[in-house]
Amino acid sequence: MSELSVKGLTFAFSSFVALKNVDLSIRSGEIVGIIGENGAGKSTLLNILSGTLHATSGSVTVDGEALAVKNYNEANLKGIWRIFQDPATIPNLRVYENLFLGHESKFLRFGLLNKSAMIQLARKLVADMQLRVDVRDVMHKYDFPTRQALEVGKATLLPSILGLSSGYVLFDEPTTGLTRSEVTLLLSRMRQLKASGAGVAFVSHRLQELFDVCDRIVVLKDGHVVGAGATAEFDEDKLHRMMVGRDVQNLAEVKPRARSDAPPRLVAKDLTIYATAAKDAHIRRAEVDHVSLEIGTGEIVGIGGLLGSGKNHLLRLIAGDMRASGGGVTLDGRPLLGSLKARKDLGIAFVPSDRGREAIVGALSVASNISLASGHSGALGFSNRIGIWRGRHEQAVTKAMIKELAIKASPEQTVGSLSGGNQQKVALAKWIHRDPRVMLIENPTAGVDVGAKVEIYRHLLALAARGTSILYVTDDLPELIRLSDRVLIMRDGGLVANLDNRSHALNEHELVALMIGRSQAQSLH
Amino acid sequence: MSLDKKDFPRRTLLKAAGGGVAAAVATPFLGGPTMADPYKTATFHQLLLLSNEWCTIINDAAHRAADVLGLSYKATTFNLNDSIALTQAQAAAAAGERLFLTNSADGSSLRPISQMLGTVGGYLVNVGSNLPWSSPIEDGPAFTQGFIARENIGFYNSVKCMLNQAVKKFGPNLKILHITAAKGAFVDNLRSNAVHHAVSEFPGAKIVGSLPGNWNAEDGQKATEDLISRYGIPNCIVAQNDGELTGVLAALRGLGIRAGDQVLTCGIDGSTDILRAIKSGKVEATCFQSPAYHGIQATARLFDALNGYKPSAPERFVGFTGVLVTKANVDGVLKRYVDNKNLPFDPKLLSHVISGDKWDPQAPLVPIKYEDYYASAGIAKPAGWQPPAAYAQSIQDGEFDKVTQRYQAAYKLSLEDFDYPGFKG
Amino acid sequence: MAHKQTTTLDDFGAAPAADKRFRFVISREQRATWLPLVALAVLIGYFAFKQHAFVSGLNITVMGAQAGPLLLISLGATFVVLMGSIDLSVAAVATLSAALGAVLLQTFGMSPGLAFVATLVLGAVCGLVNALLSTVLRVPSFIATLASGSVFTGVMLHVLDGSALLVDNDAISEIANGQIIPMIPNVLLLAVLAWGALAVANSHSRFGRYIVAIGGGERVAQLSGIAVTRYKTYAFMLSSVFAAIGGYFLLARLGSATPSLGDGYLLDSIAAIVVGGTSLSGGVGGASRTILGVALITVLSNGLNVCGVSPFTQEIVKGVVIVIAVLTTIDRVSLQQIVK
Repeated sequence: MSELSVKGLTFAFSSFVALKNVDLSIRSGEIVGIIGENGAGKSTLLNILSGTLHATSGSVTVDGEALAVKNYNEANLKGIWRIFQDPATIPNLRVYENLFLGHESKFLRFGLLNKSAMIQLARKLVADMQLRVDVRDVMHKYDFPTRQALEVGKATLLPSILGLSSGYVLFDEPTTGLTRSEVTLLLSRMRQLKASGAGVAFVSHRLQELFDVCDRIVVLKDGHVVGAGATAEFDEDKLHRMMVGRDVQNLAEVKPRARSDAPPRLVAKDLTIYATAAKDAHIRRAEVDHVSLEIGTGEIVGIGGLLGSGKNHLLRLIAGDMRASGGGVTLDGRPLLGSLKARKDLGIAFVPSDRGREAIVGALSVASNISLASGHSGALGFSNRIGIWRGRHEQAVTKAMIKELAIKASPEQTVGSLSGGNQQKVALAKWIHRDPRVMLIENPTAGVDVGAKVEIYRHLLALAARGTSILYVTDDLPELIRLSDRVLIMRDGGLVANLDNRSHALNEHELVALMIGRSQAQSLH
Repeated sequence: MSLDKKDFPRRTLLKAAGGGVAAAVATPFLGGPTMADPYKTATFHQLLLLSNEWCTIINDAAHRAADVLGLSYKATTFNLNDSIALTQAQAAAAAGERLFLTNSADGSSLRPISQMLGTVGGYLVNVGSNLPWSSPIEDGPAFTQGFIARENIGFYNSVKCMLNQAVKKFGPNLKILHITAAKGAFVDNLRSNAVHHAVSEFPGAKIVGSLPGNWNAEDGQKATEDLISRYGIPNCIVAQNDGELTGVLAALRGLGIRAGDQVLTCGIDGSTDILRAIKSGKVEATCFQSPAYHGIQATARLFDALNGYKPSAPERFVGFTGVLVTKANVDGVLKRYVDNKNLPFDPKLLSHVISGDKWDPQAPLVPIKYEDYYASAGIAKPAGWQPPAAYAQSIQDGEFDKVTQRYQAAYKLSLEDFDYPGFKG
Repeated sequence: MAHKQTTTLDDFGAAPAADKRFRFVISREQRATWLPLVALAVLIGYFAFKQHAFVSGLNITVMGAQAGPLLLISLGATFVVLMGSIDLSVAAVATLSAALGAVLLQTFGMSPGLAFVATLVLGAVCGLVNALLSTVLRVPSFIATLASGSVFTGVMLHVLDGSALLVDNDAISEIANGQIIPMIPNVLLLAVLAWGALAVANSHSRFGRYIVAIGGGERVAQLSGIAVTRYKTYAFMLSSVFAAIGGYFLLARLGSATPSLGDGYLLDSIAAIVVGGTSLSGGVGGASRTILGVALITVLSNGLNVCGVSPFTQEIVKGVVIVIAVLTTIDRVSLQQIVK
């Protein structure tokens, strides 16, 4: 039995110590869960194990032999593979080129790349992952979850395809962007890896997933190992306590109270958008198919659905980021038309889930990000009529938001330097201070640790209590159940269920069944 | 007002009427309207740089001379880059054009263009730079003529004239600033040597500082400002061309120094701005080297070559000395060469084929001795350099001197005949 | 292998990491501000030591007059760079503006004030062309402004007919060279006033803030409901208008418009912007810093001349100093990104 282990591992970045004296081992044929809050040192640990960082002190050994790799490619050759949290694909390359990037030498034939062989193997990989992807398409045609799924496929299947050993596979929060069914698939893939004799490390925020597959769990806090043992020794409360060093409020506590029915604030009727890709033009498949919905004042409505169900498109149609092919929306009885900017002025707020690319500007300060959507003049704005910036007002609002949302940052700090949870709070604060009539949110807590998650829920509930209607989509089922007054389920572009969460408690199985359709649900459980 | 505008205001009109004018002008020489045109004609192509006054005037003059001689005219701009010139010449030759005038930046395109033209039966005249110690003869019969202005003499005259004035004004000890040009360029060396030659004749005069002005006014201005910062106000400033001299005057004006009074200046080429500055007393001297003559003379050579005139070896590398312009004669220069709608030279009198014995170079044109010319730029003769055989032969058998005498004898319409009304083209 | 070579922010712990990074960021900002100043001081000290004439009143006036047009041209272009685009047409616009100014003053006898207004209009039109190409037709700004610059140069050659045009008017020279404040040429005075105004606009106006936001993340700005196209248009127009003003003062300084008037100002302006500390990838830097870059480049080129360094060596020194200045001042993180 072989073993990848670290002893007395310390990693310091100038005077800051990210990992301190960490001991850990991953044996072949087991799955080790690694858990900790954002910034606990999980990614640093995986970076060291996979050769992208080098320890300040301490040893990394494989079967007692020191592991000396300069980079990730060399780590691959030693049998160490990794699934990156943020799929680092090159947008302009084709899917198959991305999949085999760095391993082209395996496909050399007379000094030239054997493309047909690459394409063939890539197709096999995609089929194994059950993805609907044309491997000859360029990468940027596919959305974030698809890219992440491809990354997973790459790390799990490449070793066998390329004839390299897959001694150890390190999963770094791989399930963040995945839907329920994809998570199930991924977990079963992990079990297969384990059965085939590989050692697996699994970093995740989702405790249930860890309990499902892990043999052992290691808890990191501030660069230290604060707990380790067989999975059976842990329960949710214990893990939470260890991770945050305090009792976390039970998520159940934030379950929304029942609310009186209010007049509808946002009404959508027959919203429709067709797939626009030229080659699909003859199909004219509707990505959002005649969806009608109503949201009351101060109501929180969550939309669930698999990847491709159209739930994100629906949100972007209402936000004005996409143009509907048919149907219409009214806000407080008036038609909601025009660009995203026009809709913003009418009281719509939109928080996209791709934080770095769409929600915040990492290079700018917290204050600049919070004022970003409100540079106009007028009561809510940060400039006067001739365009002079109201710097003091900006400071005041920023400070108020930092206090209200408990953002751990100063107003002048750049947002890129904050943790995921604080970044998300800034992304929300940008809109919350405007008291929007409707707030549209994609995955409100993606990549946010448990502590911050609960805080964000509380802020959203408070916002709703002040009268803002919230419509959000999420891939996180517990979130859907705990945060929503009502839950909508979308499948293949259509709205398939409208469930009142106040009158009867929803359960996950029910929702999953609706998302994927009955017949498939049977086979999954 | 730039020279070309006043001088040739009907350029577009001429262009439109080009063919007709040419035919009408050519006809009287045929001896009768019924006779067929005995002269061959071809498209005349100029490779030039359009973004400076010098080249623009050459272009206009050559264009109008071509019209007079019945040649159709085309031009492309090669941005003073000889490799582009070669490409453009190749494309034009492929399109059937045979007569080429270029103002080569460094001479490097001359041999390939000549050889290419040799294979298709075309002709080339260069009025720009030549590779040091090269000869048109070596580049093949298609290279009809290399034409130069004898700047070593002209610039020497200009500088010397200014220094004479300066000595009268400031006494024998003179502090001189020298705005050079693109360092290392052949013409820059040639002109710098002329300056040093002139200054060496004034024992108390000294060039205290020099900086390159890169042939243009903006760099000339900056160089002057920096030199004055460093060395204080001089007695004289020599600019390597009149473009730079424009910048020198701007710098002096900006610094509140009176040109022509506190500081004397001189240049070379005879740009319109500087001629007017001489008139107003701001500049002492320049050497007017008539760009129009460069264009018209070259056009006549190409016309002759096309019509069978075979130049002898000395005739293939020739040059003339320009007019020294001072306040005394600037009005005449402006009258004949700037504020004149007519061509300042007669293109037909410049053609051997058309004028025969009546041929008049209309300028002190002489064959150039390679040794004298290249040595005057201070460029050492390459080891083992041998003059082309035909040229060496012409010197040996007296042909060179005969041509020199013939040219001198034929020179009737003086460059300094400011009452010549010009040729109506 | 397509994976992150750099460590992610999550790697360094939440709260302590944030503090750590915060300090790091501040020091980077400080470096961008202080290093050009230090470099400037070192250069001035060196040149003054080598050649006392360098710090004479006369030479300081001369440098001021040389820096003025470059500062004007670089200031507007800074906003375009700041929003993540680039304007390669500034030198062409400046020359075209000088050409137009010269024709209006000399041929049409227009008053200097009216001619100035005409060049402002010209600048606005040129900027609008660039903006149209970049925003509506979606041509990358690099290509769009390269191409439009070529067009503007062609128009300029038509206007000047390829030759220099002398403006025979001493009043025009006074506009640039006169000294309302002793020792300070008017062109520098105007440029410094413009610098003050644009630096404030950069940090204290909606326009400036939006430009920085667009440079930092155009998509984020768009999804925040910022009229990205409109603000990009403003930036391109500002750039061209200031290039036109710079060109008009080049004309006033030289007293004639020549086709090569703006040569060298394109590269000098980009170097000044970047050396000042504005990142070519956008979002970092600002108009306030550009004055340092302009000062550095002017001091370098004047100092080398005054100290009598060979022109061949000067080219080498300039290149090396610019690279060092950029390496030490710009955002190292953005170095790892692809530079547009």
